[in-house]
Amino acid sequence: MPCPDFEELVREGRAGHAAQCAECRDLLEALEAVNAAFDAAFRGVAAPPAVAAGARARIARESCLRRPSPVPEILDFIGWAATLTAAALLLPRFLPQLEELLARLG
Amino acid sequence: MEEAFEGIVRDYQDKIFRLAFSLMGERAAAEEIAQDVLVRVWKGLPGFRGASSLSTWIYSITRNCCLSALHRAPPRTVSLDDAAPRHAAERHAAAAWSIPEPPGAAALLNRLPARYRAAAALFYMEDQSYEEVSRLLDLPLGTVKTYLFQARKMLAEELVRERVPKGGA
Repeated sequence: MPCPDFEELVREGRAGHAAQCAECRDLLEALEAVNAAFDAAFRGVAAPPAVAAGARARIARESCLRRPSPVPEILDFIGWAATLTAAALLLPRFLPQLEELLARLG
Repeated sequence: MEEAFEGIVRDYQDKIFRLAFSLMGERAAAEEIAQDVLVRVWKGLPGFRGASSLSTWIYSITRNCCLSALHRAPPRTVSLDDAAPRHAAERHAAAAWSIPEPPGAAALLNRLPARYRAAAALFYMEDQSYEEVSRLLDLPLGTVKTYLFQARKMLAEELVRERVPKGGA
């Protein structure tokens, strides 16, 4: 009896053609050995806790680096404060002259 | 954003790690890649508009990170079929497997052509689901089935050939 192709041999299992053919039985046994080795090596592989912890640590570090600097805000505040102070100091000095000008025009 | 990211870590970290492990062939490299992928996901999350599904997006980031890493590091060994012109991804997956246990699995995987290795390893990591391997590697289901069929046939035949001289001696 001719040997079936590999796919059919696997489908039939040990009870089929392999029961009478030593070569095919060997091939099926070898396939089982391959399956067992890979199963033992890879079943249930999961990410170690270090993966998530390491990613969170890197994200925290990068977040710190990317936090915007407060310096522009402070300079902005100082600029506005200086402008308002200057206006408050100069306005009373020029107010009488402004009133005079407005009265002359009016 | 942080809640969404924590959800992604919870749901995808194992998949990312397994995909990276299957493509890189060693745990330490897979760990590093998986961390890198999670950081990239965190950075890209605000701009993610759902043009593809979340899983497709995450897996493509993982594959790209692995390919970049394999580009940077030359393969540790040269497989027998390196002389043949092959697809870039296959060529870059030529790194030999290094896993501590059991020794048989790494030795077996290293006998396979590079393009079969990731599919074979991932198949066993993903509870023998062809669909999951196809999704993770972005390969057609038929291609995955062919790769796995060929890989297992190749290894089984090789083991039988190795046993024959021992039996005859």
